[in-house]
Amino acid sequence: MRNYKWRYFSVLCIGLAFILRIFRVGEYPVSLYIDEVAIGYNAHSIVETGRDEWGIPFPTYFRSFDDYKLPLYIYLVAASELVVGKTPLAVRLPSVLAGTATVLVVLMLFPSLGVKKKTTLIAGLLLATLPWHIHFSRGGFEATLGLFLTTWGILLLVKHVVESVIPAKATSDVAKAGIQVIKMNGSRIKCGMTEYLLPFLLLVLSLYSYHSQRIITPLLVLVVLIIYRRSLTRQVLRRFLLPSFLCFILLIPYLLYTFSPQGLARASSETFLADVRVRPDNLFSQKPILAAEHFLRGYVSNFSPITLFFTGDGNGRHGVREIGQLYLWQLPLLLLGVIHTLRHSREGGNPRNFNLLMLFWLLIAPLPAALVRPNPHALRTLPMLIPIIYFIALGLSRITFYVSRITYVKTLVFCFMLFVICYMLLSYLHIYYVHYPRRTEPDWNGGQKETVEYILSKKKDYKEVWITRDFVEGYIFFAYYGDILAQLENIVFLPTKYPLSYEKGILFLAPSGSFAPGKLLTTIHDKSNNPIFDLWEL
Amino acid sequence: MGDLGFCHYSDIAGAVARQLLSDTTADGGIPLLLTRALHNKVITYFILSLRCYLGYFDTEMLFNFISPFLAPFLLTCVLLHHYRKGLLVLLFVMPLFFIGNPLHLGLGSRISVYTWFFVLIAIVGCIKLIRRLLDTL
Repeated sequence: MRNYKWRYFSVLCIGLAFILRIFRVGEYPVSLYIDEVAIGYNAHSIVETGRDEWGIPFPTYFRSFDDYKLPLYIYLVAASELVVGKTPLAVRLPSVLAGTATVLVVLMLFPSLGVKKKTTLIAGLLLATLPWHIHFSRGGFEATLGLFLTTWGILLLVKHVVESVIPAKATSDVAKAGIQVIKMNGSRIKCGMTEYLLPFLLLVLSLYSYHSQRIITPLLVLVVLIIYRRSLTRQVLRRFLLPSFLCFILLIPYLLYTFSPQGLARASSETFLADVRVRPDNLFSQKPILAAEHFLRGYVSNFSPITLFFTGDGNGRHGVREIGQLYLWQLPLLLLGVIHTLRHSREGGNPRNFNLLMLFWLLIAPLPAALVRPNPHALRTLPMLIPIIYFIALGLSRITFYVSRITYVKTLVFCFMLFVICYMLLSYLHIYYVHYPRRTEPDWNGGQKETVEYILSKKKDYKEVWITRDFVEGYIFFAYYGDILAQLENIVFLPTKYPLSYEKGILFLAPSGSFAPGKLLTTIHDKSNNPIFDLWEL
Repeated sequence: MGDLGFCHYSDIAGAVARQLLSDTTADGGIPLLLTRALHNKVITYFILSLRCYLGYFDTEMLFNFISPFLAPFLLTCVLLHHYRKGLLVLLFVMPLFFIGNPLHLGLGSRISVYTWFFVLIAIVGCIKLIRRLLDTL
């Protein structure tokens, strides 16, 4: 492919990715869900006071709802709020940018790792239009940022390792691949200590971005070191020293956090071991066996074709539910890509190493999800995306290779595929913008903003406002939409659904369809007209 | 679709009708042409049939019936060369047997057949693996 064509299509691809992610991102998904609100409020608090909601100055992790959120995304939202103000757009903008940048990373780095330019372009286009990636890039999900940093870090590390070896081992397979890189770029590449600093820094940052990355990133680095072990000459390893030392310093807060009770809080609250029911009378129902069985069951469920291609994981926040995380037309191409990779796994050289890396990446990515529940989980397995789009792109380029020999078949196949791809993309966008807001608004905490606004406008007329337990972690919605926590002064959050006894002069926010001894003021509905809460004057 | 994911062709017809009704209702206010283009019987039937078929390869369902410890043997059976073509043909035909259900088996019997089918494949995989290991030694 000629250079100007390559540049033209790359820019087109990135533009498409950005448009699909940014278009009306503040309104779709319909409202901010509870974690986005918590992120938004903590970021706002950092901007205003330099402290989080618990009053801790510039924390390395955010206590939030005792789930101890990792800091990087929240600080990026703080920066975003400085620019665009305290809006839903500010909470989602880092995710949008990270999502778009992941496409850029794929387009920039795949060719330097031995992937053909045509396959790279297909991979970039696939990533730009993939429901799985678009969906998470449009919400305030830290996973998108984690994916971006891990992908960039790992691919850059591999690129530098491959390039470093050229002067030392001119005859090896890896060197041949390296020479290809040199030919492509037109000049000899030198990788010094400073070049390694960036991938190391990115990988360290990924550990501060999302919980899954704390398992995936170290494992992927290990896999890279094993696969590219022949390239790791003493000279290369010496160049690792300074970046490793600097990264170790940056890792100290992470290590302290990971092995603290706070760092383990998230994992221990959702561990898959909670589902293991031991039967002491049965030899095969002992804890280690059952635990391994549960873990494996969770792990393989993330490869379910029904989840991937038809329904998603069932969580309304993780997908549109009506179609899967991937397009159905990608199924045969994915299989073809994987089979092609397995068949050619014995061939030498850099493409073989890269194929191996992608295979291991695919196998490693669901591990963090399998350690906790529920499974399958589209968000925690987001890093699977990179090997998946690579294999699909490989499958598609194989098909075009087979049919390219016969001109009329080529045109026919091309037209048919273009029609199918456009149809599926249009179908996804229709579902996302038309069906999805109507069907999954409760998953996005729809109507809670309206509830807060109503209560804040009325609360001065009442002695106290009682809030039902059904308004989960309601304080954060009051803090975010009501601007300051001080407004909570006469608001009481009940530990139960209904109060144990009723008093006069109270405004009671009750679950929808309930009864209280007083006057029903209003029923609050979400934008799809589903009743959310009843407001009673006691 | 179907009880415990055991889809039957009659489930497909019912699911198509429900899906189309639900989709056209959700489309309220959208031009009719677009609704017809995106939610039509042909495409919905095709997608749901495929879902019904692939449901029998759903790892989530499969490993509810057999132990996930058998997964490596299943993979070995599919990946190693001996009798692979025959096995693949058998594997791809298997869902059609359950979808058509020519023997009018009840759900319990279908679960038994399905479970034993995969257990047998795992046994073949295990034998293939042992043979391969003995050959390499």
